[in-house]
Amino acid sequence: MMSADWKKMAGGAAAVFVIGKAFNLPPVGPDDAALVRPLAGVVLALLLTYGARLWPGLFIGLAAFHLSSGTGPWETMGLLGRIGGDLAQGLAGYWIVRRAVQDAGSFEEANSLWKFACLALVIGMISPSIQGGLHAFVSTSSLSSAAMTWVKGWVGESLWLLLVTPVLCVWLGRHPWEWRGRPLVVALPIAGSFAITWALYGLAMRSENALLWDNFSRDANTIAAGIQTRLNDLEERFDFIERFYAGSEFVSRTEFEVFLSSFHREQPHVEIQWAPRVPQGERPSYEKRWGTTYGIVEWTNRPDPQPAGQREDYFPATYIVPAAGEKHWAGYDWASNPVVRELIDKVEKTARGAGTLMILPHRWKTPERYFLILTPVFKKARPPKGTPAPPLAGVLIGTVRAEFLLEELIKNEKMQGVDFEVAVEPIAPRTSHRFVIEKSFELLGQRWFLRTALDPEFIRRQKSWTVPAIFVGGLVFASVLGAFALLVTGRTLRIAALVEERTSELQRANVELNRHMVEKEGVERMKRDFISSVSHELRTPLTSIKGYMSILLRDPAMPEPLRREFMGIIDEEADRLTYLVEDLLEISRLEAGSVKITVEKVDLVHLAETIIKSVRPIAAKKKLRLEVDVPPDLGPLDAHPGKLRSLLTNLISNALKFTLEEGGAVALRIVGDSTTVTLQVSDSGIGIPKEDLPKIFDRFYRVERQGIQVQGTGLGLAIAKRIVDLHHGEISVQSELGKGTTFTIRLPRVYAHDSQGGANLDSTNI
Amino acid sequence: MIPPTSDPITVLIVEDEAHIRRLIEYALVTAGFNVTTAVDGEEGLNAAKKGKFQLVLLDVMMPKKNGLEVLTTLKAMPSYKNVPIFMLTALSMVGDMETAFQSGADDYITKPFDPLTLGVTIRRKLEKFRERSKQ
Repeated sequence: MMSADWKKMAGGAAAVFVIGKAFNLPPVGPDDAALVRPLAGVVLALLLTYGARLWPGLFIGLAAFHLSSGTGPWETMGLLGRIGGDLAQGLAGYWIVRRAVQDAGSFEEANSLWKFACLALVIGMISPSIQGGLHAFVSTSSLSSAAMTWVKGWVGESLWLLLVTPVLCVWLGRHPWEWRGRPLVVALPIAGSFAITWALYGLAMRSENALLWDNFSRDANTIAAGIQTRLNDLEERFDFIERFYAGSEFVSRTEFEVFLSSFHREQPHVEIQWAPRVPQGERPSYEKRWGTTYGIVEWTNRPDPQPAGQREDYFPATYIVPAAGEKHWAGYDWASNPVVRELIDKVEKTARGAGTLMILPHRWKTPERYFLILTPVFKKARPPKGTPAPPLAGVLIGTVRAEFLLEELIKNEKMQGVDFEVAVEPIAPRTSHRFVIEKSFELLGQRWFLRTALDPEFIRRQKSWTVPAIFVGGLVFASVLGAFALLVTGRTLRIAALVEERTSELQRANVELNRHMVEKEGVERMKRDFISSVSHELRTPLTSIKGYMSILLRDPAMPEPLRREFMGIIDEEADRLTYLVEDLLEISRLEAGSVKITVEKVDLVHLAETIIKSVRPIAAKKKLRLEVDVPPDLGPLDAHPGKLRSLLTNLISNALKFTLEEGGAVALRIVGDSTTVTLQVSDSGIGIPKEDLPKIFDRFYRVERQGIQVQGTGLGLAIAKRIVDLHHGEISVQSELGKGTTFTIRLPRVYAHDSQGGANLDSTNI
Repeated sequence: MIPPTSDPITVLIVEDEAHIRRLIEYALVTAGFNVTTAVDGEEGLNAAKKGKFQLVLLDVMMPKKNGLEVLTTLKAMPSYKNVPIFMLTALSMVGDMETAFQSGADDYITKPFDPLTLGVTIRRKLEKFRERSKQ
């Protein structure tokens, strides 16, 4: 017994684990994971079929499945929520279904299916609620997303309960009426529609993802192109500005500002600075001229700019558009930044613009990333390629906040939820994003790296309801099909059961009928036998009487002794006929249907005395002894006095008749206890052969013995038995050939009246 | 009383009722038959085997071995195949006579009978039997 339990539990654990894993396949997305777990249905079906004792096995299976699937975070609470939720839902479901649904397990009635459907909707809430409740402790997701998860969980659990539980129960269960094909007929349409649903869902999911990817990659390309374009554009503008500078000997501040004002109007977020080359020797005159607070400065760890250190040359920011930037940048030696220094060297050498992305310090705000474009300006016009470059007059520096540029680009393209990263080094990949595009290109003498990714929240919001709806719709359709199949097969089963019931009823009735017919036939046969016996018995003495009488009438010359003999025979046969008729009437009366006797309290002592007195002469004639043993304190007996007397008299007469030896004895003994009276009549006569003993109570049975003339009607013992039966007693006989015979009668002291009314109320009272 | 002929017909009477037996015996002896009696079927069969009879009168209703049994046993015996056997019957059972005839009984005598005409009746039945046998 225990091992069977263990086997079942192990089976249940294995089933849960395998089925859970089997349904964890692609193309299901992680958001829809709650929809594709049929575990609820499996757990409930197993519990309903094998009983609540299975729960440890199911717990193990669920734990193994949840631990190994990692569909959610690994926190203990979440895990407990999932395992505990599923198990609690299963057990609660088991309890609820057992109480509410009659044939929980075989699902044959339409009623039980409807009830189960309603219950499934309720039961399906349990696990999502437990999980959601515990999840709230550990997670900070929004109420709406938690509600979404709960709804998906509820829908999924309920649907799978509806789909799986009845089918599994039918598969696993044992029913009173076996229909081997039933599980198949129920499971096939469900499996078919489910397969179709899965395929449709996969297709829909794939096309949705493809659409998303197409949109995304298009937008990512657009952004990357946008960046390129913007930077290129800026570079061109700078080229243009550079030419302006190169064309003039000297550009004043005002000229600078005016020249750039239109540019600035166009691109208000790009800061343009003119940083002339100031050799060390010219520093003081520069500082004197421009009179900035600190002169040529550089940024260090200290919050305020510090005077620039001694260097060969400086590139201080001199003209700044927009003017508001002056506060921050005026005098700042761009060359003090090693990255910029490198760039300056580079542009001096290449006579071409360069750009980079770098973090620039800010006096009043946190440092930010800026796109930086440098354009060299030479003292004379731009040298043709190949010739040594003239000395650098200065650099034009354009800065634009990176975030701003990106936001602008993305806003322009209406891309919400896009994560965009740009850098001059390769970007480390992050694994949490599914939609990611990485690009790189060369621009401004620099290799740029771009990374576009879709925010997972964004993806979630993009996903329409269509795909899960297809899945849910398919599940609902499959459930309806399954329910239909269950109902139809259930009805068939019930009809089959009814037919079987009726058939066996009919068979039973048939058997009853046959029995009655046989009985009746037997009774009819008995009646026929009786009638033939009676007619034979009556005709025999009549034959004698008529025969002898006709001889006597026709032959007056008959010798006297013969005449006397014949007349004696006639007399005897007439007597015989009389006894026979009387006995026949008696036995007919006694055996007429439901005969009841009127009982009185009989004084057995007195009765015994009366009987013995009446037979004493016969005993005396045959020289036989009469023994009487009747205690005086016998007490009364419920009996019909006349019948009891005739019964005893008959037995005693028989005893006397069959005891032939002189000196033999006939005895009457009566004993009694509180409930029973036992009467015994015994003789020391010729006895009854053993083979005749069972038949002596039959009608007309006369024991024939060679050489012994037996007188009597053959009805005496039959009548005696009938009388004993009417008194609800028993009569039995013991005999030994040559030794004697004993008849024993047991009668209940108190006559038990039948339910059909008392002894006095029947019409056939005798 | 018809005086006995020189060639009395030997008849065996098998009848359990003493008075009836006596009656038949008286009637047939008076009619000039040579009568042997038996008190039951068994005795009857023994007597039949021991003696040679030209007619057997067999009572149907007998205890122990009943008349039909004796009939079939006698008819199976080669010495009694052609001997007429008449059944003595009270005609109580309808089917009995059919069974008896099927078993080989040649005729029957009903009870009660008139003992004074019993002999004549039997002789007439014997005639009929002989005629039938010739065919």
